Amino acid sequence: MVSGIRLSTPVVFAALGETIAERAGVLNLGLEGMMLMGAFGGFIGTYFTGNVFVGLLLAIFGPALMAVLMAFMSVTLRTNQLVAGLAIWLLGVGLTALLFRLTFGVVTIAPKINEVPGIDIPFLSHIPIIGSAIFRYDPFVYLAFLLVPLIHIFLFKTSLGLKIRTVGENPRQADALGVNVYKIRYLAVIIGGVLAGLAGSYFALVTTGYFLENITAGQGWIALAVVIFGRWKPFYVLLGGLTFGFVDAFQLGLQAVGTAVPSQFLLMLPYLIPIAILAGMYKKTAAPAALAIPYKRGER
Amino acid sequence: MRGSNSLKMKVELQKKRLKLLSFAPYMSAGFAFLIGAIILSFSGVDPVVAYGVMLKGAFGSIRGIADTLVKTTPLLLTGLGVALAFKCRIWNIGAEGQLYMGALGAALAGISVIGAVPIVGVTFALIIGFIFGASIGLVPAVLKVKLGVNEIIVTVLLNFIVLLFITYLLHGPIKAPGFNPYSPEIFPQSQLPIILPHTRLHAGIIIAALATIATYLLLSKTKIGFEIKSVGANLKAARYAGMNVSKSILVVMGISGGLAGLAGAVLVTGVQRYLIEGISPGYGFIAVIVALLGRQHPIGVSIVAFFFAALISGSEVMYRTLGIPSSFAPTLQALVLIFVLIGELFTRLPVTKRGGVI
Amino acid sequence: MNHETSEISNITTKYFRKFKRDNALEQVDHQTDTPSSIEHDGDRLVIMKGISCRFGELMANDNVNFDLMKGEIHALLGENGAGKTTLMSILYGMYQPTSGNIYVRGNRVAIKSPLHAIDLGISMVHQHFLLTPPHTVSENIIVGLKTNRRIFLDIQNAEKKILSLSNKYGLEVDPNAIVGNLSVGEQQRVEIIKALYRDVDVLILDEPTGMLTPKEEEALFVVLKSMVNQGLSIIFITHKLREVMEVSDRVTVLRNGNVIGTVKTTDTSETELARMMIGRSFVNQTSIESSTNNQSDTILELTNVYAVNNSNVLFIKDLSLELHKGEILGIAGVDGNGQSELAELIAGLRKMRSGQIIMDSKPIENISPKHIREWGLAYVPEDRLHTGLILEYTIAENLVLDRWYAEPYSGKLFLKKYEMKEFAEKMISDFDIKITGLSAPVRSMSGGNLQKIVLARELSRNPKVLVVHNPTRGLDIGATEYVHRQLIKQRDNGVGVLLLSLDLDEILSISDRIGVIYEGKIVTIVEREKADVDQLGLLMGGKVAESNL
Repeated sequence: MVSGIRLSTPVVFAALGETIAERAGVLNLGLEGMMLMGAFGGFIGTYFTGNVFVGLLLAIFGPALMAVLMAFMSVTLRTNQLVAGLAIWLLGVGLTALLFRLTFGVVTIAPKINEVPGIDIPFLSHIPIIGSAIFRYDPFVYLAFLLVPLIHIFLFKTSLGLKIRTVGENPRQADALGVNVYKIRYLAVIIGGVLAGLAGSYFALVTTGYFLENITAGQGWIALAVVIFGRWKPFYVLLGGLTFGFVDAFQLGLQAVGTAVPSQFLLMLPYLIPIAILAGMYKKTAAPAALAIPYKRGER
Repeated sequence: MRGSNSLKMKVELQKKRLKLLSFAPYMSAGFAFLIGAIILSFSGVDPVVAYGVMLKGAFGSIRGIADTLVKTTPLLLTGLGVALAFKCRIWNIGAEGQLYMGALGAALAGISVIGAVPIVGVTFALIIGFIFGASIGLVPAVLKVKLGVNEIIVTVLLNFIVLLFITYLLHGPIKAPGFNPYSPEIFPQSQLPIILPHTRLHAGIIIAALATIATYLLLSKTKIGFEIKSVGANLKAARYAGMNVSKSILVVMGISGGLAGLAGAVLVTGVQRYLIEGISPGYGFIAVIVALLGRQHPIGVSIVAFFFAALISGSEVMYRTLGIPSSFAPTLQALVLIFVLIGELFTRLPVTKRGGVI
Repeated sequence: MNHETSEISNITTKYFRKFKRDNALEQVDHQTDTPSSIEHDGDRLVIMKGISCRFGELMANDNVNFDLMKGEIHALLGENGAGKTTLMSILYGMYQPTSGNIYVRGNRVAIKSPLHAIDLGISMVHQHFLLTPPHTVSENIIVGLKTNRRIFLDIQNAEKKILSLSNKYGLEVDPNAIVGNLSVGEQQRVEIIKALYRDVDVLILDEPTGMLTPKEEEALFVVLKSMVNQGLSIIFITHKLREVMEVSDRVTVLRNGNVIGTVKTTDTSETELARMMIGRSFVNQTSIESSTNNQSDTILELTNVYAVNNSNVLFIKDLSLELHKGEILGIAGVDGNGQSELAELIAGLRKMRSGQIIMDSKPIENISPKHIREWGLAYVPEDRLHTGLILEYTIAENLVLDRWYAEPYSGKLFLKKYEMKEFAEKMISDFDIKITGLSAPVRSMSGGNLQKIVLARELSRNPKVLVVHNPTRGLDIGATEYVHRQLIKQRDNGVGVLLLSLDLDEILSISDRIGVIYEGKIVTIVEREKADVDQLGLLMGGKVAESNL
């Protein structure tokens, strides 16, 4: 169970960010690439300076740039968002592996950084049994949990959040009321990039202490599914992320024990459920109405 | 009359633009290589030498060309499938999953009784691969036609489901004896013959070429192709012309999935000889890019697929000789795509459809 | 102030002015062309002087003068294409005029965007609502506004303000309601409050009654009157004469982008307004001979048809008409009164709620378009670019869009390209179509030639009924005459032609009988000789004809 939460943390970060982006109407298939860039940036920054915070900064910087590029292609150039996202994904995959190899060359001993340790929350972590289980996580986990209500409040209770949601549903309405649709979409995508970068850095900074090619192992794609699973609502997205994490942990546990139980079927559930949900609500999807549709002012 | 003069000017401008358009892809590719060169020189490698190695690696020897063609095959097949779906404005992002289903089908067929029959075996494996791919491809189509579900989401999610399913099978029911999660090796009679001695070039390239021609004929000469194109170009007019939109969607996803499945089958019967996780390095996703850059036209797709395959095989040689990581290829591919997309801004290339994806 | 600080203040003023240049209330110090009294007339909130707006070839507004006095309801009347919406879109900052000046409260301004217009106190309620169905009324109204609670939404205050506006003007809304669940009338109220919420005092309404029930219309008029009593000034775009007479204080009539006149409503009548709107003293044009057919065999008949439009609002209301063989029945009317829906009903592209359509003695309700075509209907849609043609296709491909699935143009599996090409060549010569190339996409062809392709395709089937909707829209004179000649030719061959057109001249010049469609119903049908343009104008504007009572 402990590992379940740790496994879900990066997914939750990435999915929260993508929720914001998609609420503004932009579908980012390049999430995986951004996460990889975050992992790479976090690793390099920490490795060369010994300072985790530099690592975090770098972890955010790369994906943020990629997010700007994604926004440029999707919002300004109004290209097909699917393709733009895939380009970002490829770029992330290729560039991170390339830059890593170019920086370190072929090494027999992989360069390593010290993992970020768990934080001992005073008092609470001394509660017998559960205390040490729940309240000794690394700061990322707490941040993730904190972000969920924050993002919920952001989306539903702030005026910027309302602007984002309106842009994603009816950009023409937002435009007519003076909202800068382009700026809002850029912002949303960049926030998504920042969170994806944080998500990716988790792998390097906490989970392993290394950077490996493809260290994110598809979690970026899982995050996309989690957003749909969570119906674009932060709390449900958290639920979705946790589901993945727990199922994953469970499956890993099973493998360790050596049972032949087809854990893969359990793993499939988080992907099947969104399809079932969509199929069941065929009249009205909960998806933002303008998702993945480029906006041009004055188009009648 | 004023009207016709400005129209004449418009036509002239369009002709000039079309001329410029044809250069755009080369310019974009050029920019991409330029950025690649910058990255290389930053890390102490002479870009000219590096590109030279890459070129020679991809084209400079028989083995090189063979290798490039081997990689072209699955990319081309999936690219054709995706391009076909895109022609109908059906956004099939599930080619990877469809490919694996096809690979599964071929792996199973190749160890079955029929798989041991000469000639029939390999044909059977390929056909089963196509069918498996088509079946999984129909799932999003049916959901879209009957329930109006967005195919982008379903195809993306199905990829995971299929991959997990394959993993399960490879660790259990179809695992070959031993420690590794492979399926048993298929019978020699189910394997694609090598057509160029001393290389790895197998008959799959011929199949891919045939598929290209078939897709071309389908789109330009058949009634169903006409419907598919019309539905993709103008849904309203297609409906008014009495075309059956649902039928087009189902057919298109069936063939699209089938082609991707065929690609998987080719990978099993021509390259690996058994099914293994990771048999495809993401061909299904790269195919989306190939389809778009090839303007969804079979000939264009084949050229782009060849080019991308050359990038991959060339960069493998770069790795062996110069130690440049093989991830250079996807980087270049991504850069080419990005620059082409940006280039659209200046030449207004109709590379993408305006007005929405869904 | 010593030298340095004055330097700095000079520089900052310069930069400040640079930003002010783009600012709203540009104080005009050195204008030489300001006529003396108008701009400074305290009663005139808005003055638009000499506004021209050109879209490519088209002059949507030609030197238009318009003004709005404080506390009045000023109607903007005209047919389609008269330029009403364009003019107001300019006032609302969505378009920029190519020439002319706008003065708001005496200051010359250049209105750059809707936000800017709102800053100036001008707001617009569009014909097609801009609302987000899943959000609440409050959320729809306040999006984009700054709040007192810094970054947070202040729903409570918003609700209070909404309710107070609601009470003040009699616009009943529930701030918590989900917009998607509201009726059209309720949604319009939300739209109006959305406009008023931003503390404006000029409200522009674009064809507000289009989708309202009569009751809702009356309620709206009450609200409007209450609004001006509370200090608002209203501009009201419409083509309906009754509304003008009932609710406005003044009315400006536009026709073809020009102002015909601005009058006090009490000084005019529906008849006069209709005449100004339509603008013809009808000279009986016998340039084209009437049909010599005395056939009154009915080839197409609609009876008591009811149908909804795309927004699920009842748009065709108890429509009946009879089309005879060998005649051209021209239906006049302002756009938005059901012409598109009527054409689509006949062509099989729209289902009806109730009623009957019989063509050539066969009922064609709920029959597929393909079959209706096969039974003898030809249809030239208004939207030739989107329904009639596929622009990416070649001329040959477009010409077979109605018959591609059968011999001789295709076999079991394959298209027969050779036969298609032959057919195309024949049509090109028969209809004198100017092509850029046989394998070029038709997108590159002119509007007139595109229309010829559609006509060629439809007419080559030797139909019994031909429905054409705005067939000459956007075409030059030559192409227009060509189309008219084709229609007459079909008529002479015994085809029943139903001509739906926004161009009254066109209807008057080639129809044998003339009718008017208004609010989804055919309100009259007369022989051409007996047609009285003034009467037609009135009917198009909604006045109930005496004889129909």
